[in-house]
Amino acid sequence: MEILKYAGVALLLLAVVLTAKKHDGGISKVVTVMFSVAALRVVLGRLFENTGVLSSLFALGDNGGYGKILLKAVGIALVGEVSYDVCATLGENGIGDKVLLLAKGELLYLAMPLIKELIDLTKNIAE
Amino acid sequence: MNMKKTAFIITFLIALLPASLRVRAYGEYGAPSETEGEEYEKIYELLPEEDRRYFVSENNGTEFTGISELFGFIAQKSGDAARKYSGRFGVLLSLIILYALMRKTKYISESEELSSALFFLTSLCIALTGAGMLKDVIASLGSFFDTMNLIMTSSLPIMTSLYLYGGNYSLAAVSSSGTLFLLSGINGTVTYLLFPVMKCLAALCSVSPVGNGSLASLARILKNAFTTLIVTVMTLSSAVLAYQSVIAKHTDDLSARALRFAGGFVPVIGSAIGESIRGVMASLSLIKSKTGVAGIVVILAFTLPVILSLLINKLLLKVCVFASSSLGAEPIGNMLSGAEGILDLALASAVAVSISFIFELTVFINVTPPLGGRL
Repeated sequence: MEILKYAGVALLLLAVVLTAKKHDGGISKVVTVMFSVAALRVVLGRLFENTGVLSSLFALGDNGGYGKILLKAVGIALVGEVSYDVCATLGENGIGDKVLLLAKGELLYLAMPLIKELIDLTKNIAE
Repeated sequence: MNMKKTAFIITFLIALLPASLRVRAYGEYGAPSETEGEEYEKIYELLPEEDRRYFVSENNGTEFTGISELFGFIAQKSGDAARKYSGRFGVLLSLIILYALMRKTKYISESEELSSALFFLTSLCIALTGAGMLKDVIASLGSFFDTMNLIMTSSLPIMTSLYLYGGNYSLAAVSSSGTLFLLSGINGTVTYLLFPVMKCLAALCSVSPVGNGSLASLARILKNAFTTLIVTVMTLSSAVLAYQSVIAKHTDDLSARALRFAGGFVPVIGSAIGESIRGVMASLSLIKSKTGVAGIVVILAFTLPVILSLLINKLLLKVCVFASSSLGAEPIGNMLSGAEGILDLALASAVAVSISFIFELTVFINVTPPLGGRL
């Protein structure tokens, strides 16, 4: 039950933020950002820790590379999302939007070779 | 595989059983003579190269002793085909599960745009896996049609020459035109009309998960239209063959009825072979009486691999369609059921061409006795 540990840390940080807010609003934002980054690190660590099962499933066929691509995509989406949240917390929605745009661009960049492969395959079938 | 299809395959094998049981076995008559050994060698050379290993005995000789080899061959071919395709379907299934998880929980991102990009990427991976499967099926079907066309077309002039050599000028003319009609009817329709359509449908189906899935529906509509066509061609061709008395007089009513009953269970194949079943049974019986189990083995060696691979692919696709619909991955389920429809059409075409091959072989074998007896 790791979540109990994380929830405990979150509540403790909440108390710190609420106390700090009375003296300096800036500190509370820094604490929030630090917590977001730590949470992202934990999530990514847990996610890639258990990729063995997924990889073994994908390794069954010749197209096992797709598993790797999808995991990469999930990682990009998570980093993009958390970065957006951090920017939004700091009141910089403009930068947050650009981060989301960059994440989407990265995902499309990952999709490009797949799109090319699909077009080639479809052409091959129809020929 | 659903129960109906299993029942169909089992009944087909049972229908073959009496044909094979009456074959002279080594155990009954002792070791084969030198001449028989040479004949077995010749028949062995007729088999496709990749299938010869199934018929090599312990002392490295070739044997066609009866039903055990036949069932062994079928079992090994099924096992090979299942092993070949199960890996790809494992990947497809895990992709479907991943897609469904992302769709249901939306746990990755609250942003709609990022979620859409992730779904797009996952759909692309699924489309690629499905397209790879369709490409393999289309390629193996293409080479099957080419081989069958080559065998059937090349036997036609030999057959006509044999008739002419025997002095049957009118029979030569009738047989040539009848067989030619059959060839151009079934093979022409399948190779030059259905096969290109199948390729287009497969191409449409492959890209459908990337869009909204409507392409798969279009593929399904076209498939239904062309299924009717192949059934009509099969009926017409069977009618032509009915005039060729060589086949009609060998009909075994009971076996034909059993196989027709089983065939009726399978939607497309059932209608494709329904009208020709009497002719198929008669042909198999004639081939068996002239060449023994070896003739049946040669037919199976040419026709079974492609039919088995289509059936196994269809079974595995059915599992994936079921998984998609029960996990809520509808766009993927649409694409996969479209692909399943294409496999139905491919199966019907392969069965139609196999039947025409059996007919052709029967007519050919029937011409040979006055000139040389066995093949």
